Parts: sequence; structure tokens; C-alpha cells
Amino acid sequence: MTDQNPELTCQQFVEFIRDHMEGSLPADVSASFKAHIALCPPCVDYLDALHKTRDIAKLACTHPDDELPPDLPEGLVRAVLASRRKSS
Amino acid sequence: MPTDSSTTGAADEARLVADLRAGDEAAYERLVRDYGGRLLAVARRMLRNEEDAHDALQDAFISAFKAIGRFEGGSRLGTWLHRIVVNASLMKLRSARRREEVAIEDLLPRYLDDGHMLEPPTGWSDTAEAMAQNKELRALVRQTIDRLPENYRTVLVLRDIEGHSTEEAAESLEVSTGVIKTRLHRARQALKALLDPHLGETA
Repeated sequence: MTDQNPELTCQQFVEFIRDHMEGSLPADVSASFKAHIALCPPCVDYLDALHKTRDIAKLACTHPDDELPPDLPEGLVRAVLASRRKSS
Repeated sequence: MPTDSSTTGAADEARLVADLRAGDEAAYERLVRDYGGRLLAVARRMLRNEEDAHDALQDAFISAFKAIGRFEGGSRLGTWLHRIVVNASLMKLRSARRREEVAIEDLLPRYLDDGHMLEPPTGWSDTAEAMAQNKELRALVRQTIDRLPENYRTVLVLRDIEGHSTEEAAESLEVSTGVIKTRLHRARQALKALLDPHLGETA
């Protein structure tokens, strides 16, 4: 963390990561955001780890080796069709 | 919304929809068999409980059968069904008993009065793709996501895992887009903090 950034504090920078990761960083903040990145390695680490958090969440929850087979249990198919007949 | 690499081509899909609207029993069965597996995977990701996922899938198909008359050909059938199973899962989540959850506030960075972080954040040196090679680690990440407070976990699942847009998530959860953005940011921050001891450089 640095004392040389006249624009954003680390706290403000971390809050603006919300908009940065949405691709909706306000135009008037963009330069200050970039300036903070250039000056503050710990905040760069934080930003980088948040990107990795987003990516690992997706990879961990959708990895083909971990998913149960996509076949529907036959009993469930029957139950769905039976409940349709009941409700129609 | 994820791209729908559909089970059926557009012409097949139009025929299936027409048959469903005509009340053709075989068409109902084909819909369930063609799309049910993928939709069950969505319900499993959202609910993390096999029985609840089966219930949500059943509710989703009942809703879809009833609403097929209102299905507009502008979107793909798979995309439309995906949305319905997400909503059925959300309904199920609202009625589910509360799990043991962490407090989100305890997992956010803390700051000094001048806006600097109280403690330097933990960086992660490996890429997400490299980390995801490890089966135990993937299981740990899934278990950790499950510990997030439900309001935050749901937004993370919809946005980062199911690939919904901010606007779609806001509509499904009936909150503003600002609330979605903030909850997603907090959810990622909390997940990072919970995973730091396992994935951080100093671990």
C-alpha cells in the first residue's frame, strides 16, 4: 500500500472493483482506478485474487468430472409425467 | 444466460413446441428426456440437495407444461426452460431451512482510518485453471460456496456459475441491479477470504 496516491484510497479502490468487474466503472473514476493499480501492489494482488475467485467458482461447480451423469433417473421422468397428468 | 447448444435444431424445436401445445403425450415425454438432464444439473448446482433438486425439476416442468402456450419462438426452448428451473429452484430455496452460514461482515477487508487495509491482502499465485485441476480443491470450493449466506450464494450462483446477466438476476430475485452488483462483490470477497488459507501464497 502506498501513501503516494492522491486519488483513491485502498478502501475506495476495493469498492470500485465491484463496478470494474461488471465493466461499468464510471468514466471519471477510470483514471484514478488505473493510477491506483500502478502504485499499489497489494491492491493488485487483491484484484487478481478476486478474478481468480470468480473463475474458480465456475470451474469448481461445472467440472465435467464432478457432475452426476446427466441422465435423468427413470423414476423422476415418470413422476414428472404423472404429475402433469394429475394437474391437467 | 448460457449459450444454448440445443439438443434439437430449430425446425425440430418448432415441431416439438407445436406438439406440446396440441397436448401430445409423447411430446411431453420427449421434452422431459431431452432437456431434463441439463435442467437437473442446474437445480443441483442451486440447491445442493438431490431431493430438493428433483422437486424443483418437477415443479419446473409442471410450470413449463402450463406455460407452453405463452412460449415465444424468439428465444430457444432450452433457454426458456433454464429460466423456469432457476425460478423453481429459487422458490425452493426460499422455503428451505437455514443452513449454518458464515457472517459476511467478518470476511470483508478491514481498513485503517486513512483507507489503507489493516492487513495486506493474500494474493493467489496459481491460475484458476491450474487450481481447478485438483479434484479435492474443487470439492473444497463447492463446500465453501455453500457456507456463504443464502442471499449472497444465490447471486454468486446465478451470475458466476449459471452465467445470468445482472439484469436477469435482478429480475429473478426481485431486487435492483445495484443490490445484485453489491451482493456479488461481497460474495466474491467473502469466498476469497474463506479460500485464502487454502489457495493463498502464504499458505
